[in-house]
Amino acid sequence: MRKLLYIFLFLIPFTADTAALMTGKVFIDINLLDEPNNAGNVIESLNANTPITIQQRQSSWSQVATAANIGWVPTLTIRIVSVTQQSNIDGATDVVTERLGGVGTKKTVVATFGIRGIDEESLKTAKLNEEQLALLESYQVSKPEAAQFSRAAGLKSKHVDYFDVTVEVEQ
Amino acid sequence: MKKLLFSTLLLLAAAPVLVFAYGISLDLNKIKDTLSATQNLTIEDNLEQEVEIGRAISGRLLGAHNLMTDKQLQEYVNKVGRWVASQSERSELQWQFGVIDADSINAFSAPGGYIFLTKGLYQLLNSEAELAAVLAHEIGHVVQKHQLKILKKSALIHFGRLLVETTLDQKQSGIAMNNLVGYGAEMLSRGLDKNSEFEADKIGVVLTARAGYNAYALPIVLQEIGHAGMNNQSDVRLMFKTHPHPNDRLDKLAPGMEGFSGDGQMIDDRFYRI
Repeated sequence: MRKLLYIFLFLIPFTADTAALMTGKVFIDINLLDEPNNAGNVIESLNANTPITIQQRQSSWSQVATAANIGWVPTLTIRIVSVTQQSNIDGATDVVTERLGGVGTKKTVVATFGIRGIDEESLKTAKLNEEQLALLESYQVSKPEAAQFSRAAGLKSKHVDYFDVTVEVEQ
Repeated sequence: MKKLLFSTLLLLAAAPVLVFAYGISLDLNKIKDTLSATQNLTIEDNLEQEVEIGRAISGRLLGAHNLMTDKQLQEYVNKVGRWVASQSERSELQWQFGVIDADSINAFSAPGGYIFLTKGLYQLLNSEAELAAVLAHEIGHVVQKHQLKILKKSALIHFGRLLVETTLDQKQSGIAMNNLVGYGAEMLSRGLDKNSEFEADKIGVVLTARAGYNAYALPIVLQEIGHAGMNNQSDVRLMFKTHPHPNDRLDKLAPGMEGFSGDGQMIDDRFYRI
């Protein structure tokens, strides 16, 4: 019966809007600020492990809600505990099915049964698939094509040095 | 001379294992003589061979799981990936990217510029920058030739080539190549050492930023998949076997991230959703 339900859910057109509800905690003592920058005013001083819900992200900052306030903390001070994908179908918000998380964590929209994952054994016993390799090669994109694609979104390459790693310059 | 000595010792040390692996007997003196004659025996300088090995390993992966049949998706991922790879020190490789039809949450790379991610991982992503960051991490492995270095360390490449050049007929050399590729394919499931993963994260952040995306995209992906590690879900089991825990990776990245303002783009409007 449950399997049938999953099949039914899989058949739902993927036109639904989805929004992730992410809950977590700050893992160090950190100030909750009213702006996404270090010049912001302190709204609340959070202790490590204070539970939060992530509202949105902006550059390197995340807007989070605590039990009492909404404000900003650096994204890297957060550890996410659960992600709930809420699916809005025909205006009705509905949490559909569990996918990733632990108890109480729900996620939606994908079929998660019947397809074997990639595991050690399947890789060990697999035979080379020339047909799939040819298909892969057919999707290949040239460097100029990729550059054109990036320009369409306003992406510009910039000089950024590596940190804490040595990369040999060669092709 | 040191290199030659090391190669010889490596080969001699590996010989019993390899004899077992190949099921043939060897004349060690002949091997030593041949090594003397091939002081520059190294795969790292041979791009053609690197690509050949990467292609064969990728073919094995695709033998286990097909590519997703969504042409638009595959082309989109190739455009994003090629743009990111163009920012690397190996921008002229014939980079190829594929989304494989598996619910597992993972990404793979093979020598020569072959990069894959699973449908399961793709579905977790929320923006083009996050996709770019995942691909950039895998590109980092190819840039640093992490897999190739392990293959070399295993002595299989030295040995395989040596045998091909000296003692094997065509059929036997095919077996040797098969064993090598099989070892590489297994590496996909075993994963690399933690330091290689941390290094690929750092390269991934930089390549993401160079491509104009938000450098924080990779930390964001790590955050979002990190909580899954608290459960023993089959979807993520292999990823946590092949990669350090995302929280450990975040800890390693955090000091270096202080230099990034996060001013790049995330791009969620044209992100291809599946």
